[in-house]
Amino acid sequence: MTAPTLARTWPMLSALGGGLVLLALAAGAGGAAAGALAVAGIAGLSWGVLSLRAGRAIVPAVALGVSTAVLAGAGALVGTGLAVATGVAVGPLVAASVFIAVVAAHTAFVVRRRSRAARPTPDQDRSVDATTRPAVDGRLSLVGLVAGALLVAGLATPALAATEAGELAVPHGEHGKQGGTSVTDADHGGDGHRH
Amino acid sequence: MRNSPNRIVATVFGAVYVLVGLLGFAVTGGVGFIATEGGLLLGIFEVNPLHNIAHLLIGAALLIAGSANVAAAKTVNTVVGGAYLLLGIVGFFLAGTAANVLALNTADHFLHLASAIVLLGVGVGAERSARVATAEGASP
Repeated sequence: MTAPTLARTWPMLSALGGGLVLLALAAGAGGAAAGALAVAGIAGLSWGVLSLRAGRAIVPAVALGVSTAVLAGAGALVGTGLAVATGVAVGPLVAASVFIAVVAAHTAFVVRRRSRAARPTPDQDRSVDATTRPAVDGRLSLVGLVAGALLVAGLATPALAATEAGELAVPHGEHGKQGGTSVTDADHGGDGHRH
Repeated sequence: MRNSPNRIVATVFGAVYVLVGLLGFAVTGGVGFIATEGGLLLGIFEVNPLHNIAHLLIGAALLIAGSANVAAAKTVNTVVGGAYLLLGIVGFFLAGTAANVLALNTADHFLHLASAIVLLGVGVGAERSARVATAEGASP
């Protein structure tokens, strides 16, 4: 039970990270892609917060359907070359897809567990699905929350920096001011290159 | 306090933010109050005096709430976490512009985003019955 407790909040945190990156992508995208990305981003953020509040993955079947559709859409955008045409950066889209894939995997697990629990067996344990524990309950889950936050921030920050909004936010011409002291690799999303 | 995730997080984050706020003044000696390019704290995090004061105020709010009770810690964690998440989103549209009054760089955004997720996560996800329990305890 240690691993599930530690990683209990990770799907919700992953939804927050995915929602943020999708929103940043929407800000730099054009046409219908912008609207679709914005809706998906808001949905991810909302699902993450509401699931944290509920202490479980809410509406798992709907979340599974939406996250699968977003993954398919992201794959289609990249595969058909529409991502470039609509101004959607591929790197951040892949990062967002990783976040969404975590949500999809978790909700698929929950849906599968529910369908199994719904089967009429004489000795089934219905308490498994009837959990009402808070999302963060005990020190181990708190440690898991901090670790998950660092993981999400570690992937989301460079992804956000690589979006059009992020690239516009730190003009390359400004690097090196203040005698070069204000330049950090992190200004490039930690990609290690220097100017 | 030991058994309350909200009070633990509020106290620890409050102490760290107060410390960061105080240390920030050591690297922002010649920096304007709202300069868009500030000094580097620990060689990474870009700060200006306004940013330092914001850290001090947020740290103080978290510390006070953490030492008060669970409901206060939960409320302040949620509010600060939500505000930081918003700052994380808005920050990418402000950095490098004249509107960047807090002097933020990407390392700052990483810290803000990680802080936001932890504070919002514990505020929303832990001790759901804190308000109810406090209200019941206060009633005669």
